[in-house]
Amino acid sequence: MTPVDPNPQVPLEVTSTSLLEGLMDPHNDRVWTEFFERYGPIVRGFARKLGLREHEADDAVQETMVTFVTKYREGAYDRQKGRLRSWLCGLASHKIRHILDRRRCREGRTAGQADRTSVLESIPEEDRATEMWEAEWRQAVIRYCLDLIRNESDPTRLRAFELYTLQGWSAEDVAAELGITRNMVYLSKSRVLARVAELRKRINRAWEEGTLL
Amino acid sequence: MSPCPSAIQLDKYAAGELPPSEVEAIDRHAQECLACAERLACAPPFERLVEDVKEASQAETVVVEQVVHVQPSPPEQDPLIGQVIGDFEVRRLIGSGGMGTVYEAEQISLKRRVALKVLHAPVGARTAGVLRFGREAQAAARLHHTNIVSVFAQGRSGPLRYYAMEMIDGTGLDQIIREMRRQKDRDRAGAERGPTNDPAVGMVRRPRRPSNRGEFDMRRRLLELDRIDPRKRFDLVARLVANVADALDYAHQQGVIHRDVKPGNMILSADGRLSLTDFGLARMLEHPGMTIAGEFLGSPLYMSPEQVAAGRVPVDHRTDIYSLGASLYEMLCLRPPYSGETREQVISQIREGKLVRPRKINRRIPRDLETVCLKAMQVDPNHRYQTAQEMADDLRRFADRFAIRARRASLLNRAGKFVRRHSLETAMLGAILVVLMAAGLIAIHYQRQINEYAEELYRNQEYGDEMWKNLNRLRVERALEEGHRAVAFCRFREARQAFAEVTRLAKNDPVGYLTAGLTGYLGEIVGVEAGRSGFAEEFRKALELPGPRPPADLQVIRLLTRLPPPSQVSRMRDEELAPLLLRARQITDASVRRLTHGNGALLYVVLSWVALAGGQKPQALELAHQALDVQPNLALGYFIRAVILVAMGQVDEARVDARLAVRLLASRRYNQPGDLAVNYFLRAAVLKVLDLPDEALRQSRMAMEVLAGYRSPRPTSMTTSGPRPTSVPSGPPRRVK
Repeated sequence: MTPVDPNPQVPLEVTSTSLLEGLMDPHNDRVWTEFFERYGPIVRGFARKLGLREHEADDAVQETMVTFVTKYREGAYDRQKGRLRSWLCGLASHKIRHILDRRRCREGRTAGQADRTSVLESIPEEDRATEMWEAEWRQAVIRYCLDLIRNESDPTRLRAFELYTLQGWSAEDVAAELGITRNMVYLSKSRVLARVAELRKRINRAWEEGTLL
Repeated sequence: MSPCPSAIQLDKYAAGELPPSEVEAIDRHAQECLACAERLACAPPFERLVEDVKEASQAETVVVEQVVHVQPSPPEQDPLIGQVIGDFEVRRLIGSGGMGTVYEAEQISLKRRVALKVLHAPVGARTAGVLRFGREAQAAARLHHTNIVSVFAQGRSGPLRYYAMEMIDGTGLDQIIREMRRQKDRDRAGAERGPTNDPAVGMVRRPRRPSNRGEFDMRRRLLELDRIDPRKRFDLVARLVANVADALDYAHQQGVIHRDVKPGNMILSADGRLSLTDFGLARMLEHPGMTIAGEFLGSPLYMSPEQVAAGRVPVDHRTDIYSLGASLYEMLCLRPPYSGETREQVISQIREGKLVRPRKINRRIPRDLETVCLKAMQVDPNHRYQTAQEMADDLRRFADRFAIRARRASLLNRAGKFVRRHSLETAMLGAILVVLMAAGLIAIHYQRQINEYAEELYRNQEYGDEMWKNLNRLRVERALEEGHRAVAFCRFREARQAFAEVTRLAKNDPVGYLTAGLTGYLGEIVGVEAGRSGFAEEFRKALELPGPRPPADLQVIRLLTRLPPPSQVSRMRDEELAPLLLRARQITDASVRRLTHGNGALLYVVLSWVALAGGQKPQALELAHQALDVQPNLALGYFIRAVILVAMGQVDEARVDARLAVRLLASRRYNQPGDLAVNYFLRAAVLKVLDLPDEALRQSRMAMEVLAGYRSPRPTSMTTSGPRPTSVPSGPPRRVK
């Protein structure tokens, strides 16, 4: 097994172009796509955790993103005041509550009765919701890291990492299965994790500040 | 060997804080020194990270697959553009998918435009996977078919593995489906909200690639047809998929299996040709979708049950038939057949094959097309179409149905012909059909399906056995459905009979026992007739049956076996009850979507009652809401909610539910006197809630009369514990008061 070559196809340096600034230009599809792909899955996962159905979660993503862009263009977001992450979280929670509300009303009507539980009751406490949002964010960042690593690493190493670290095989078994030394099995863990740790910092920063990767 | 690194260095390494040169040095050292390699792998900073990575890879949802799509990027960002790889000069980036990046390139020697796919993960040269890939790719390269994207060449340059294929101007089917879905959502949202003027909305919803080149006529047609004439859309879909099935059949005859048929691997060109791409490529990775490479991009959504079994079950050409069925499913329903929160959930759903029938998602989907789709997606390969050609034929038969229908004789006619042509064994089928219909027992839905099978049996004598099995399965499903409808309207005795039929027909199917047990429990809650305390036995049987069961179902059954009989719940101590309820809720919430035939709703009713009996009123109310969420016509659900609301002092609200319950209870015919009695009792109870004691008394009397008349001729058929008319109904339980 050869050492990993960092893949030149994945430029990671933070450019001076801000993703957020790009959003000011209504014709900049690429920035929009990047924005949507980066934060969309987080909003979507969050929405699903809060009890939205699949199509409702899609709506939540759409509506959150649209509101974000609209408000951002109006100058409502001030980077000095708060973090992008919590601002998005606020917007998403608001939208999700709204969608849940709509559902309740609709279902209340069809069942021919008044709405009897407050929507707020079905949503976790603010703190708990924030915690869930943070977890979604954390997972999305790590998935992004793993995606990058997947592109740059040798498949045997990834397989070793998967079996040893994620699936809990013993180092001996993994070594025998893949025909590599135990050293390489251990290294698969330390190398991939160290890379995750390193990438995570950079990606977190970029996502937090809304800069392009 | 270099000296061992210090603990501080190792920590920094683990935190990703070392410069690359030092990282490399430590890596080199650890390749030699086993102790350091192990120390490094167990470095404390990693512990938390491992948890995070596990969490992230388990929480991996289908969402990720859905957002992967073509993403144009400026040329200066892609180092391959402008370079020459083998005989190909890379021109521009077209897109990026799970396995590789696709570029437009020119084949220098032939001066032709090709699509060049460069694979993400360079695969080591000596693995079996690659050898297989080599052979299969060669076979795949020889495939020439209108609906297969031709492979011109494959090769490798340094670490890069690539292959060149026919350049098709078109759109991926996955993208088309996405657009259709978006359109549908938009239409629905539009109907709710009215037109919007938000400019940002326009921006989001604009198709990603401008279609002003006029090349996506077929895509537009599909999108428009969906609005104007859905029926025609389904015809078009059937024809397109039939063409792909032709292509698959051709490939299978050449000994090539695709293994990764999915919408993302089909391209719809402007002239309306749907072509399969990436033939034989799935073999590039040793276990497609099961490696980490697949973990983060591949999706098991379209994989066949034998494929997700990862090597434990042999995979043959029928895996492609399944995946084509799954793709058809998504084209019809605009959503993938399975959608779990985690990969494991999706995989277990695939293995169980518990699908939501397409027509439940969209009533407009023609029944025949649904049948084709479900047949292709049978869990057991032997129950699927055996060749892709058969599937293609059926799809065309559907699309040309008018011609066929014109020649169709009436059912009686056909039955007559049927009997004349095939004397004994087929006559039996005819006889069964006639008896079933004469008895007037079958819902129209099942009648039609059974007819279809009869017809098919008639067409394909050689698959007779399999058809008989399917017929049997249908009868089980029908009985389950009937049983559930019965229990929803408190016809316990009838439900019991239906479930007995289920357990008789499907000896290894725990669902029948599970449902029968639930029904028994509910019967005992209500305090009548069916409450023979037989539920414990039934839960036990459901638990012990050898049939294949996913862990979630097992959990549900285990949970049920831990519930005390209804009469004892109120004696449970809070510290026993609270954790039991909590766990029960978690399990039920997690598995409710996969419980068939309204079992989820019944489970919620049971739990709601348990919560009420244990004095946990708000929780009881919420659980009752849940039950009605799952099944809105559940008379029992309204009944229990009315009882809860009375217990909570919300009498006005209780009346709304009580009235609904009465209306539902009165809306059905009760063939069984026992059921009729239950019905009267329940109505009496509900009328008490409504504060109509006279009316309630009258209903109770009616119930007693029915029971009296019923008991005298056949006393043994009553419950073993004896009817408890005076105590009926038993709710609300004591602790509530």
